Amino acid sequence: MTLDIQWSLFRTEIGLVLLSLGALVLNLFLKDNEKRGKTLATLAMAGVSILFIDLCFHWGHFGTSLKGTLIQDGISFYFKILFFLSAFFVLFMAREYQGQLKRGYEEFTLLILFALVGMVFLVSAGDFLLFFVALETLTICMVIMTAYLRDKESSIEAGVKYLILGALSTAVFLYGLSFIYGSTGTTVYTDIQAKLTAMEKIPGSFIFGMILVISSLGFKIAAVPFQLWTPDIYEGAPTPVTAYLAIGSKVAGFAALVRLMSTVFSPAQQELTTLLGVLSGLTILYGNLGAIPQTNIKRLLGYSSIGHAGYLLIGLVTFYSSGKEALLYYLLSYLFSTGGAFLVLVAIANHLKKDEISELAGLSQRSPVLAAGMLLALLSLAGVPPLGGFFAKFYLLWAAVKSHHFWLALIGVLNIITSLYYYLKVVKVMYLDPPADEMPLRVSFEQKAMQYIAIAGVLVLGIWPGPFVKLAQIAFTSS
Amino acid sequence: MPILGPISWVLLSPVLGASFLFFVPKEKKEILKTISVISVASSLFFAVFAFLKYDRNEAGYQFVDKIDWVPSLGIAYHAGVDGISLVLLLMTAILAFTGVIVSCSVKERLKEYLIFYLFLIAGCFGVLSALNIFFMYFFYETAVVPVFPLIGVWGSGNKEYATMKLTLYLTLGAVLAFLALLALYFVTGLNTFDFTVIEQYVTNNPLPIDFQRWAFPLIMVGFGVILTLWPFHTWSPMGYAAAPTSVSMLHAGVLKKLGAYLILRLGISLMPEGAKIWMPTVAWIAVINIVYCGLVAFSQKDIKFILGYSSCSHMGYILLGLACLTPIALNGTVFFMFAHGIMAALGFALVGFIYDQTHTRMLEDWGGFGKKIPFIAALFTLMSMASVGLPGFANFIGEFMILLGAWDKYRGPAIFAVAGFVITAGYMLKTVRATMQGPFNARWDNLSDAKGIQKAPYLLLILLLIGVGFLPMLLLPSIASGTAPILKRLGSAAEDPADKSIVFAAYPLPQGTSPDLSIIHTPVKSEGSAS
Repeated sequence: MTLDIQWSLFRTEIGLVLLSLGALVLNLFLKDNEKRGKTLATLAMAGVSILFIDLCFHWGHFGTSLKGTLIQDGISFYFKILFFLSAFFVLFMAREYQGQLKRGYEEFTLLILFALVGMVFLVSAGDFLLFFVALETLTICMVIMTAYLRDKESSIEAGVKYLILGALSTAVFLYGLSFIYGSTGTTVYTDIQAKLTAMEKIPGSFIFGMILVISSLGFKIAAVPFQLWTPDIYEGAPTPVTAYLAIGSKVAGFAALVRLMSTVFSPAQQELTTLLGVLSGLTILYGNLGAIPQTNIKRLLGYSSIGHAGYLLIGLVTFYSSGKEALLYYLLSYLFSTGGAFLVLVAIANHLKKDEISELAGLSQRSPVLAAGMLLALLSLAGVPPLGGFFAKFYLLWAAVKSHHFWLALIGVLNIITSLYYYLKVVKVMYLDPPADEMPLRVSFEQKAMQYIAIAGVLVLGIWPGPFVKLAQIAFTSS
Repeated sequence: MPILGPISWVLLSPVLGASFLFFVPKEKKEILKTISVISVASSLFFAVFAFLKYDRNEAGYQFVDKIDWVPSLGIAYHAGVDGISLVLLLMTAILAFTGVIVSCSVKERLKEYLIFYLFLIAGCFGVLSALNIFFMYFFYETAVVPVFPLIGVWGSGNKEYATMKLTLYLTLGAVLAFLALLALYFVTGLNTFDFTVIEQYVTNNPLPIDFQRWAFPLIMVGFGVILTLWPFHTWSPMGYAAAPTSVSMLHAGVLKKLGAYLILRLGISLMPEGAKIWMPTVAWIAVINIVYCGLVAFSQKDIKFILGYSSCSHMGYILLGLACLTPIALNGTVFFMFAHGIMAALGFALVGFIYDQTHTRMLEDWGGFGKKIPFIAALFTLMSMASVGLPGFANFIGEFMILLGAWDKYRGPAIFAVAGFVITAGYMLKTVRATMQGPFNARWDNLSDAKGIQKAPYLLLILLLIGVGFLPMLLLPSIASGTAPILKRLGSAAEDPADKSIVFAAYPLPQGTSPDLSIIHTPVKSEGSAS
């Protein structure tokens, strides 16, 4: 038996694994201190950038390999772009955050890279087994990173919570997978799809397994009713890890759902749409209403990320009409907005004692750049033009109305008001309240540069969405 | 890249100005001011240019620029003006120009102030010039949100509460209307947001009546919130009282009119049947606006609150005019929008000028200013007269036309609306007496009058009010050319034998005929309360 492997299709994956292993080896020869930690993070950023550029230039090298186990198509490329962007942001945050880590400076970078490996394989997987391995790689790295601040109780607590709930969701996943395998006799997506289409009626056991798999991914994306962990863990985890959970892990969850819905689950679309519709409405309501009373900025962003998961679910509800492109667009804009907000939090991490919103008071006078970055990020999340979040919400709601989900659209638009309220509360503190300490904050050149990248992303996506919409459309049509 | 026409430049000037401001250090105040003034002056120049060049005989959309934006959704940057938006755009450009000049007296954080202010201006221009429904909404939201920091940071009094309330109210209205607009997109089945295409389609294929029945109120209420449709008016007096002068000017002058403009453009024009169903109700709400807000204004102590409620009360006339759906009333409404915009901005500018020196706006604290600052006091008195609707000022023409239209259509509301004049006269005269006349309080000995170039913006505004008040024909032909297609869809103009009455006096005036009242006022079949 020969393997039909085409190595050239997997240059990104191979490059990334080599990069991670190289960093691991390099780690052995470096002293464990802050300075070396920064060096390694910078090297990792350079490596990720090179792979990213390489990836962009190889758009179009599509195909499947290993008997359908690995898929390279528009979807995998698009999501890999998102993953690389988020890893780039998070690596930079990790680099700036080195001062807060007391030990294991370099390993932090390594974990980010390994999690990235997991995400990249997750979206390229064409087989449930590979999918599972990738998912677990991601989850385990996330658990370790969440509990990274070992002398901080909240971090440990968050880590344990994530570990237990993560293990539970893994168990649910495997249980669901066993039903899917039981009803179709294979774990390869294309084979499952072919078997199902051949059947007259989709077996109940398959539906049951599908619901379980979606539940376990619902944990990843923080959708109701699997969202309870989010605020606690967002609050307790080190800030770069919180950011990674928001713009890496969540995007990966959606990547997995998109992949599954466009292949394995597509025969059962009717059942799916109803289920997801209910979840989407509830998630939007829970996230946005829960965010209102929050006083901790990381908890606030945690609730708001639940709310955004709800909006993104609209994209899955309308997946089979025209919501899927809107979903991809929303993810891109969400990545830049949330990334921008967390960049600010990391930049002022030394000045935040408890991550309370009130600690941001007078930020606009202490550092106009950071305040502007936060302002634009939050307004984009709220969906204010001319920022990316506006067009993203517009596109999703357009898709919802197009497929006659009026209730969902109504919940969606009304919660724009709710979200505007709690985001503006933060803006008010930054711009209106007098600072406790008048000293201007020192913002390094790199921090400014990254902030400008995030701002530019948010603005370009909002002002000139055309090409990105096109990109999202191409992602689905080309394979 | 196509060469952009004057309308796009009206919109682009403040955007470019704001972008330049980013790169100017905040200490260089003179440069900041110069750039801002130049950018709005250039807008004004292009707006005047367009106003003069607009071909009133041909009518329709002119100076059109179109650039594809997101083709798959039918979104394009599509700008141009018809007779209605031309007039309102000119008003906005004038107010933006005066507003920026007034803004230059801001002391703290001038750079940020001007940046937000220029974005606010750009949003207003955008709504008026957009010919794509997506961009109308886009710019509308762009105009609403910069107000939050503008009031929050630079305002006075209960500013944090006021600015949050204002922003949330206006956004709530906007998203409700947004749902209706999305539904509109799919109901037409054209797969485009292009307003001109949809308008053409609707002319030949009226939208389903059921759709019009539920979508029209969404638009009416959604954009009515910014027009201070009762009971959604409470954000306005509070917001204006807290806002810095130039923001009150633009908000009361322009942003409120954007609500009326969008109701006219998207509601009445595209859903005429829905409008006919709901407008009798709106007429009575308009009465509540006129009478109730007028009475509330009467009992206010803070002068900015008086002006704020007064502007809510005046919005009642705009609502009533829109509700009539007849030629004379619609033309009068647009005319009144122009007049009220200028008048309201002037009022807030004058009060702001005094407030900057006195730091109090309470009625009992002011008094006898006529002796101390005669120029400002005289203008304030003139502004009050305009507000009351005295003939000779532009406001009179607009209100007169609206009432003529309302008399035929809704006699009951019209009677109350006329009574509104008395209320307005009551509180305006009371205000003038308490502030500009009466005994002078010695604590204001240091008060100084506007000098030299400072007088220019105020003079410009008052001269416009008087000039247009005597020469309404400067505006009416373009307004009439803009409302004609809307009225045609309403079905009220086509069968109307005195079609020329759309124009206040026939245009062009037939040689040798003297304008008699029958041209001004042709009775239209009355409905509702009159029967």
